[in-house]
Amino acid sequence: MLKRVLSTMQGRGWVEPDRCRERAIFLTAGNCLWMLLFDEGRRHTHVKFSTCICLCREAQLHSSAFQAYPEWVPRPIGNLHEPGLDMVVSQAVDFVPPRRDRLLATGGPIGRQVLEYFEAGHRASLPGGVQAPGRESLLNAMVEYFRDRNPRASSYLSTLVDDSVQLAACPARLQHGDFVFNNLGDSGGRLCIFDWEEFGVVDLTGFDLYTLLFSLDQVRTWHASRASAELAAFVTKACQALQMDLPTFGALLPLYALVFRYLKRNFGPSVQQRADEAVDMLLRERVTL
Amino acid sequence: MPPREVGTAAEPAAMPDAPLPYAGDDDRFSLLYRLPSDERMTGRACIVRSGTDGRRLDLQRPSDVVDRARFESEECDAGRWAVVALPATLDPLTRELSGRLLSRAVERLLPGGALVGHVRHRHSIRNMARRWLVRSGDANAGWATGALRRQLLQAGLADVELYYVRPSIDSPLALVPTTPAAANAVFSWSIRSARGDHGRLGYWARRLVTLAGAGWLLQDTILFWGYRAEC
Repeated sequence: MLKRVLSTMQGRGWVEPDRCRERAIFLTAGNCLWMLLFDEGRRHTHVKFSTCICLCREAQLHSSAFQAYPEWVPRPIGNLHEPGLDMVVSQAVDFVPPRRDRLLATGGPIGRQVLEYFEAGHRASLPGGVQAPGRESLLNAMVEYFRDRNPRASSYLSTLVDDSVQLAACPARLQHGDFVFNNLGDSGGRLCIFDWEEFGVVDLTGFDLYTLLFSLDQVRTWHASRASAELAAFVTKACQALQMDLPTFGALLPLYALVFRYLKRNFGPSVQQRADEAVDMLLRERVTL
Repeated sequence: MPPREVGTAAEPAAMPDAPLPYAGDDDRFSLLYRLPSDERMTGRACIVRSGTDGRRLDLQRPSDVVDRARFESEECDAGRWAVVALPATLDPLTRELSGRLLSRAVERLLPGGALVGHVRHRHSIRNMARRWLVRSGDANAGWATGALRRQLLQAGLADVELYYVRPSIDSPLALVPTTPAAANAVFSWSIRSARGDHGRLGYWARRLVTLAGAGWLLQDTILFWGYRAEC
């Protein structure tokens, strides 16, 4: 498998042969692998590959994300779709995981760039040939999914489908879709955003803000009005950047939580359990506009 | 596992639940062993067991499982296997026996065939502690990367590669190169990414070890592979 990946990359000129010697290979608990190529300890190329799923859509979405947000998205190099092998190759970024407190610090470079990313949401568009699912389609799929698993959630979603007042208050902007802590990096003060495979699946403004807060264990804190001054300031500024008011964001939290849970429907039980806990808490204590 | 085609539409309603072929620990363990082999190369695989490792190893090609003694003694033609797998097979063996087994395995590979296996890392803190405290009865105390590479080259393998397996061979998630600069970059990043997985003390102990450039002390297993030269 690896020989074929490397010979393809060299054959297509995506990497020079003498820069393939140092590599780390990462196995996910899903259906893809990824590989980092190094040169004297510095990453230079990132490869995601799979022998069992098509990565064409992900390659297209990554390219679109790079066009929309070149300052934060790694540069795409190439992609391949052949029988038995799919690859997406991009420039690797030397980064460290951002410090959690700095992500929400509106005065620091990383927190400021997160807000700039939210503000720049209008730049995003899907590539030709990739259709946005649309809210109604997404909600209907979710109603079906939750019907037996969580009747309360299904009922809440049905209400939203029938009465679109709340949804109309939420501007439509394409979201990253998995804007969690683990998909962000700090490259010498520059924010890096990875993993664009869910890009455009959701167009509910504020969803990325929810997923960020969720991944930082801050949803409950904020929802229960126990937020620190820093967190409150961050959410307020984020909503301003998103051009949505704070009560609307608060009212839509259960929907964001359900969408996130739905997108994680193929993930492991620990992820689903965490998402379910947020869903239950937000549905129980939900506020309406 | 049947292939899944997602298509080009970002249509969640139409997207079937994705198969997760690498979700289980054994699935990823098998995947490690499939990485070096060329799936376009036909031929059988031989899994040589030491008798201690009973895990399922699926090489996704016709495979024979034999114990070490039979593999060494069996009268069979050289150049028979596309892949020979040695899952922990070398661990209980002396260097001399390991060398003999490796040479025999290389002889029995098809030209271009892959030899792949894993061994205990001699210089991991856990393995050193195990040796000193438990007084393990194994003849081989584990392998250092340099000695293992030399042994594999002496056996006649080409394009030899060694990796540390993180976090463990029982639940593998990453292969880390053994070259110091790249290894340290990965160790440092991995530990910072998994900060929540360790207590404060454990996290800082690991950070300090990697900052000192000694992340390899935390790696218990080495995965290796190499190829029989083409004729």
